[in-house]
Amino acid sequence: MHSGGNWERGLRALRTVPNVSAELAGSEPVAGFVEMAVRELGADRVIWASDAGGRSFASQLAKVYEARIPDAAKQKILCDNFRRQAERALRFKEN
Amino acid sequence: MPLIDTNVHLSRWPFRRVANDTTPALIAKLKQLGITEAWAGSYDALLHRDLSAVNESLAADCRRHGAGFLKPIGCVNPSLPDWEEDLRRCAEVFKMKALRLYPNYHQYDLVDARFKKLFAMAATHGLHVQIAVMMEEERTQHPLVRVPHVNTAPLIDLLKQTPKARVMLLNGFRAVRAGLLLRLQASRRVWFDLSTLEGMAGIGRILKQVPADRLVFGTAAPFYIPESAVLKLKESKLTTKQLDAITFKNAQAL
Repeated sequence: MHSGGNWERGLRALRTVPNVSAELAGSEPVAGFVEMAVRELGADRVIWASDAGGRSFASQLAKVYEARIPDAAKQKILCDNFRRQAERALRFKEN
Repeated sequence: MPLIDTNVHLSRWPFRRVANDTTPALIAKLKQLGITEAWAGSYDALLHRDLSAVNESLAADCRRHGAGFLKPIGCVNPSLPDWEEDLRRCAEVFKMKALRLYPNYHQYDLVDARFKKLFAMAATHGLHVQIAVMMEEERTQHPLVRVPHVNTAPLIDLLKQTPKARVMLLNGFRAVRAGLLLRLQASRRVWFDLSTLEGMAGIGRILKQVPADRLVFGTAAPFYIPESAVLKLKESKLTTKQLDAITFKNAQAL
């Protein structure tokens, strides 16, 4: 789910919904967004997206690249979490 | 290779703590990114009324922690009594090269007679004027502090009336529409910092409207993640001449 323009509110709204992940695109590259998402939801529930072409890849990637979180969490956010969900969806479709 | 960041702030963003909001931490982060000089205002200037103290503290902080690296950019609020003395101190006491203004936080617009006087005085003192067109996008603003974007259209006439004035618009790309952007850049005395430029290969696209000699590098750190601006330089294919102009030559010439 998109975290909302006001991501400090959006992330709080998702805290109690463990089967929903937060997607990071669309907001300004302000400091602290990704750190709060990982702190409040856990790295497994945060997914990167670019919002291309409205946004810049630079601004959206910088949110994760520079976040004060472990590299393993960045790997999950930039790749593993979406891959896991996509693979699950594809398996469901095949069956 | 020099890399001049024309848009950083010291002190604390008023609405939450952000990474690198102490001066030593900010300097370390900017240097880590290859930035060789940073023009610093103070977040305190947004809401404090005692701007003399803010400017003095800013100048001292730049000296103490960032001599040769941080350039203090003082603030003047023309809606306050005797703002002229603040301007004089910025120029003569603190030897600042520019002023940074926040018209919509300070509740005046650019047709205000006090602003016109400030604009002319700044030019007389050889100070260029940075105008923060926005500081925070509307969606995340505190409900009691809703600050609209600055309307920069009056600058067109004002620049004609003040031949020595030079203006840099900070955080302006989301707020200044294409038609106005063209008219402002045509004056040849307005520069735009890249901190809020968005869209894929944004610099490459904006160069179709605004020549490289009007663009300057700025991060808007620490509220904005400074890597965003650095990565934008790599997102577009730029010639060495364009890159040099944007990263340091234009700022050096101001």
